[in-house]
Amino acid sequence: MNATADASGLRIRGLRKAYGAVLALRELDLDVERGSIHGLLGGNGSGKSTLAKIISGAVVPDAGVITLDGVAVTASRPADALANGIVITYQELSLLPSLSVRDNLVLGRIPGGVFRSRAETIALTDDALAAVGLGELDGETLVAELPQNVRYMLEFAKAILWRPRVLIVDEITSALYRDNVATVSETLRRLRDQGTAIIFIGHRMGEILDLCDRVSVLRNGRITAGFDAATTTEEELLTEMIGRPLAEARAASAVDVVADGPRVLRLRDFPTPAQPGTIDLDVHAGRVVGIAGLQGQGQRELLRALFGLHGSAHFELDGEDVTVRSPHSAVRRGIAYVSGDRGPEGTFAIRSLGENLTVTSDLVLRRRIARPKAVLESLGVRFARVGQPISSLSGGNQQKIVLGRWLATSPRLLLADDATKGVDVAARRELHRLLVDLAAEGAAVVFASSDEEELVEVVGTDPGSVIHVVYRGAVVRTLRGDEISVERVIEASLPVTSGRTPQ
Amino acid sequence: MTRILGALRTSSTPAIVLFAVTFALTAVVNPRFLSPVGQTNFFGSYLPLVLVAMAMAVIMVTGGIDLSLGAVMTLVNVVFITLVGHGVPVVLAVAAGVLAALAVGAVNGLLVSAGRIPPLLATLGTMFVVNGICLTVMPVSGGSAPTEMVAGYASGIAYIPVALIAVVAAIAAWVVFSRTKLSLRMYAVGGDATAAYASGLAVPRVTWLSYVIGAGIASVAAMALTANVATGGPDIAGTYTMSAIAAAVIGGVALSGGTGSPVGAVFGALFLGLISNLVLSLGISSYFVSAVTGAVVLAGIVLTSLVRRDSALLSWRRTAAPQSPSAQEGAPA
Repeated sequence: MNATADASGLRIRGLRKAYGAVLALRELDLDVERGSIHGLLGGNGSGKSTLAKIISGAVVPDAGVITLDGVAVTASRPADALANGIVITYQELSLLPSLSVRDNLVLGRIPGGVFRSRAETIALTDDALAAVGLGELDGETLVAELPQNVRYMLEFAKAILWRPRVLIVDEITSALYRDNVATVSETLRRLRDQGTAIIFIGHRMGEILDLCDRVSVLRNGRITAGFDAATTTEEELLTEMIGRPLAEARAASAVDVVADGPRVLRLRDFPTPAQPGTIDLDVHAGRVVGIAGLQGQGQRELLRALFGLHGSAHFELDGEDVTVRSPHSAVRRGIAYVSGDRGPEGTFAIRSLGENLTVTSDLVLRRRIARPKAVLESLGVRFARVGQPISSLSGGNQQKIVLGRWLATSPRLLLADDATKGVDVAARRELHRLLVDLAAEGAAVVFASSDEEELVEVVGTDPGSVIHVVYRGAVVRTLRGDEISVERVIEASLPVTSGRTPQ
Repeated sequence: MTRILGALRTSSTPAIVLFAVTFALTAVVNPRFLSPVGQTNFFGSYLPLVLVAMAMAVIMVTGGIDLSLGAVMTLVNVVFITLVGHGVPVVLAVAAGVLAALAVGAVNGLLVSAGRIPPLLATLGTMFVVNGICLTVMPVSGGSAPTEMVAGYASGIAYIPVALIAVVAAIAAWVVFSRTKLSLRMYAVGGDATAAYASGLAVPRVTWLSYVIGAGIASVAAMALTANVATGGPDIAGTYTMSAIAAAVIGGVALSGGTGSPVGAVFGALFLGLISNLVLSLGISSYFVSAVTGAVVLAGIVLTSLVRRDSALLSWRRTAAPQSPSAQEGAPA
């Protein structure tokens, strides 16, 4: 990817962005021509979202230059990027449900002087709606009354209103896209033919090859290769994404054939919240079962549903049919849930270490922890006083206490939801040890992580090790024993061909 | 037909219905209520609340709240009465009062937008400061408003009370304002500041303007109050803050921002006024009036919340399942 003298199009040079110690982008270079659709592929944590956010002004880079047609366009807020004609369609929609379709579409650049020009608004929005195949839609309808897939198309109509010179389409998890593939493709091709430089971030390689003119692969915060879409195969792309040749695929079922310890959790046709699929899953005592998949495929929702965070859930626990109505009832049934979102869902920031440790056992189960200091020490927490506020500790030590809180309830089933997110390597190891120890004592652990290396490390490759790969809320592949490897987990996570998707 | 019904089902409708019913009830219970004097008294007494409720609604629609509005009204009152007492021309005294209010609004807006301080805390703080300033300007109640102003306020044009005309004018002013770009931006910022920011709006500026405009409207409310009570006092309008919030909520303005209209708040305020009126004309002990009024207001708030229940459920579903795209599969595109 050489820097060319040609000034036309989007040129990104030496883009760098770090979040704490984690480098999200390192010296990234990318060229996107006007009048072309450029696909971006990459696994979890490859830096795609960071790149999209930087180009669209939502995140400021640490270093690097972005030029459009030879003019610097590095933006520090979305309004600046929009003013330069750089538009992003958000998959977590940027629409306001309480406003009408028309009002939403023109929001960033309302026509008129002090007063709004109604005639101009109607003319502009009618054109944009027609351009995305929504010509029949009444522009005065409130967005709240529209189904999600129509709202999704409105994002495109909104983008078109800005007459984008650069359009970024971020598809990471979008199930919406599938309902509108034809219209979206047609819209994007028309914009391309009008000279827009389009960056399409996606996962479904077949569709990307079909839609895009060029495809670049992102790995570890860098563009590792660029391909001409016309002459590239899905296999080539996948190999580039994983960084190694493909492993052969094997069909498998999530239902255990070989039983080991007593079965703690049994799910059959368990509906994954907000996803089309259902889950069949067995977890036995003494096991850490891994849950893998692209971000946003329902892993998190599954775990939260089992903990009663998505309303009543029915499933089999220890051979009994149970109904979990709320986290309170989940705790009383011996279920624990550790979220990686420590701030909102784990710690009581201004309260002491002791209080954070004992809150669940003391207040819910009325089981006192006799010596919190000894427990904190056994958790490997580095602290001065039991009474110091938890916010004075590092993220890793805080998370040890959150996990310790649940260990103190002696759970039958522990659900770990990206539980080591944002934790340093050493603390991560200790958290893993605590989880494995809990399983060794006879509990069942479900360990979901978007970091494939971590999953493989924790679950292991013993004969009884299992990782279930989830896509659109269903288990699409189960890896066992020595089939487990980082490459296979990544490969199984990606919807290579349309045949892979459930339904 | 469904279109017409749809147009009637606005956020302001419950408050308008409550107002109409209570108005009729009051007219039946108290025959003098409909007389020119009765009407002049009623609208004269409640125009200040109508206006400050609109001010509160403008700020709430943009996603904030302003606990200092009552104090701002007091400030305008004491500045105006004091200056007039020193022989300053009325026009200049009014200007001074309005400028003082705008200054407080500008500070509130800066604290919330640039300072990122929660509106409840920021405006609670300025409320105390402004109260202190009021006491310094006018330690004890006293002074008097110009007689022409007081007489003019209590007069009528062709039997229509001036205060009622002012209420209609206020509604008309909002209808005009609602056609500005700024009004749409306020609803957007109040609805979801993040989405508004991502759509390219200058969110801090819109937030700031809402506090300045709110304070400006409150200063007009203060002038109405001054004309009605004809005097000044360092705590003359303190109770207006909470009444304004209640009126706005009854009027269909959500505490969470982004929905409702100041027009609804107007009728919410008039409903509050009618309730006090009704309770008094029923001959209930004046010591107990406040409790009865409170209970009816609470019922009014519950009622309007229930009417809004369907839209509230809609927004609840949206927050409960932010990633529920596929739940809608098969819906018409």
